[in-house]
Amino acid sequence: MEKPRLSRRRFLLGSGAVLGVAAGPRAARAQARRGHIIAGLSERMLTLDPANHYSISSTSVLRHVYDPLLDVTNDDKFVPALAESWKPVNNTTWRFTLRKGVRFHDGTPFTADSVLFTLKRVRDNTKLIKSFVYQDLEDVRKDDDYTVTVTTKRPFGSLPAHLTMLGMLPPGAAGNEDAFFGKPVGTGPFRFVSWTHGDHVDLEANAKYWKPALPKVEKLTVRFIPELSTRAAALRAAEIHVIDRVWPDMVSTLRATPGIKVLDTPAVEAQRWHFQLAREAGKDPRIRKAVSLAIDRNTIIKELLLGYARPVVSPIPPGLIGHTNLGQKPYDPDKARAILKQAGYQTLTLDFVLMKDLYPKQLEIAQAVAAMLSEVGIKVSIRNLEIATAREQRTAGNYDLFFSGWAHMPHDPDWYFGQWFTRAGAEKLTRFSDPRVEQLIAEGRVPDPKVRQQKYEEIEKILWEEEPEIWPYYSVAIYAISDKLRNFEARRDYYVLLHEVGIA
Amino acid sequence: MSRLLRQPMIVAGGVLLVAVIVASAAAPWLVAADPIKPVFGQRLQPPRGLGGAAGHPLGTDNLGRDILARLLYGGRISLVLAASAVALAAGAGVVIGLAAGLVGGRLDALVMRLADVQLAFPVIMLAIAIVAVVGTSPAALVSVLALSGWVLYARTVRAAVLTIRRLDYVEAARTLGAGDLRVVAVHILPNTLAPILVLGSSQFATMVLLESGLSFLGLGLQPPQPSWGLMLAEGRDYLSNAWWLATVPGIAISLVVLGANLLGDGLRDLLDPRLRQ
Repeated sequence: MEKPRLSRRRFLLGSGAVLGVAAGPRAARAQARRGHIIAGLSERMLTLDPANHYSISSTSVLRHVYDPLLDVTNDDKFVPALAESWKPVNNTTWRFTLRKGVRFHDGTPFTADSVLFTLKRVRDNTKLIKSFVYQDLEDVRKDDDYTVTVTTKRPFGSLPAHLTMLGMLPPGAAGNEDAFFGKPVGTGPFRFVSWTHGDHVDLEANAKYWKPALPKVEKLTVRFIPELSTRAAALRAAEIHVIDRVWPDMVSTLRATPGIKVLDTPAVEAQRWHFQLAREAGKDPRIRKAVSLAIDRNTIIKELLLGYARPVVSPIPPGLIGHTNLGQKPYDPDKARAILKQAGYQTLTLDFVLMKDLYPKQLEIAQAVAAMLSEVGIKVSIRNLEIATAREQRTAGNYDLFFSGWAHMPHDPDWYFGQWFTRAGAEKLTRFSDPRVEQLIAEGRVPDPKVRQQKYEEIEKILWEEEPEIWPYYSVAIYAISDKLRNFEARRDYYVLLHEVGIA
Repeated sequence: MSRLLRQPMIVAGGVLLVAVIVASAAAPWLVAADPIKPVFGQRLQPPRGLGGAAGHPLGTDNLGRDILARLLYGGRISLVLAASAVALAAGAGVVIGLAAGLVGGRLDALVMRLADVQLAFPVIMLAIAIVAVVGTSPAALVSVLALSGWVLYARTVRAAVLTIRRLDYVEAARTLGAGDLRVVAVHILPNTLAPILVLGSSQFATMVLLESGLSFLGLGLQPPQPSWGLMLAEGRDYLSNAWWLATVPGIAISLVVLGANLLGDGLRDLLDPRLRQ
């Protein structure tokens, strides 16, 4: 059954190639594009507006429809997308040269007006979720149809990184955004077809995509399947071709299934459990130190995550600007006990708050940590709360330790520092406040990567010493795919990007 | 007593329940393993007979803890919580029902409308609201469960009171000078006992389910406490590679619910004069 089909397909392919050479590049391109990929993502998409989410799954879907000005590769290099080049003119000015000959799906050309519209919209409409990042934009000026100058109120070195996450819109969307986002157009490799809320999105190939010979498939469907076992079952039943967010415990089962490959890569994410610095326990650096010493990170990595995580050597994961090696935090329960005894703590209870079902295996890890801390005499009460409730509790400061991770989605740590280690950012989170760190963060916002690296190293040394957070491990992203997929790349930022992926 | 034993449902339900209760109560003597402390080297071992070690008859969970130990210690917690909830709900419901039936008038109207309002709220939503305000604790959990259950008793008792208080012998007792309290204690309460018993035993099953459900959703007990609902929740993620994590507590819940329901149905048949041959 299988053999004759294969040979027939191979025969057709061969003749197609011959015909393609004869009929010119156009026929060859049509020949190359075929098939239908179905992806299963863990998180539901909530919007078609590229400026109104920070969701990883929304990015995965919308990156196929809209192109950003810059792209970021899996090895953290910023590369041209709709901008052919960009450079800082001075500390508060960036100049972008745009790609020519790109058209939106509805045929309108992509020009400087698109960039002006997209950037001013995200800055001025403060209801948009990404708006806060762009508040620093002073002005967006059109020098000519393919050159744009952006001036900022203060140095904004991470602007190119943030722009990898902002899809460009046609200026025609202005005024009737509801209608536009009902049937959006971008410049991306796929056109939007339909979206069944909470269930799936259908896309079809954009035959006039500006990158030659892409995309490689005719149709792309993204299904939203939050539960891992359901997602994995659909992949094993060959209903879908790729799933994200596989758990370590699932890897061996999936590996043993014929036709399925498991891929993993170090993620741009560090787990970080932050202390409430205004409450008694978090306020005392000796307690923070004791907690850190009492946690056996290597056991968590080896026994619970089965090796699918890496030991932390600084708050910023490797590959990103600012990463440095400060050495692993030691595991020393005896020292932890001694510190607590010296500090005079007899009984100490920590409230450990989790956002329910958010991170793989979080409950298991939290229980392991509770057991480790009880060894040094700290009682941990785990509170596994609905995400909204947990966030309220965090804002109100009703926790000692909060289970959380930080994925550096723009591949740049400026956002993490600004959010968690400036007074304004941390006001409703950890109550962190340190003028030295604040100053260094401000100085680290310049475009010059050498200056940024140096400032960030200084920040990290302070944080490593003070330990306002526990950094237990850098995460590893695990995907499982059908072996029919060609050219799939396991992304460090958890995105499932299928522009260049083909299917056999 | 002999009539009781001739009811197969009561016997089967009773035996099931008693077996589970005794096993849970005797947990410290039946198993040596610690139900809370993780043993990292022994994660996800299958039950004995399916390739597991002899030390763990029902296997180990995702933190290497003995599942039998967690099941039995969890049974203690789940059963005690359900029983306290039933007791609290029945106590409050009976008092409220008696008061409404005897006093009547505005109090009656108020209480019964309150009951209607109560019935209009889904238990889970109520639980989310309460947990959001007071946080998760066994006491909060029992309160939520009791709050969801009192209406049943209040209505039953009120109806019984309204019927009984007009009966001739009650009137006779009153004429002879018996006060409200005596009428309630001697004449009315004993007559409502049968339906309360039936309600209580079938509600026990509901409470066990609800407690498991709330803990499963993260609104009840918090880990590392061994509760059946929590074990189910933790096991859910391992269904495809370690099915026993969720299956074992699932079977335990089913057995207790089955036992309590059988007992309740049997008691109803036994105590209902219309069903008596």
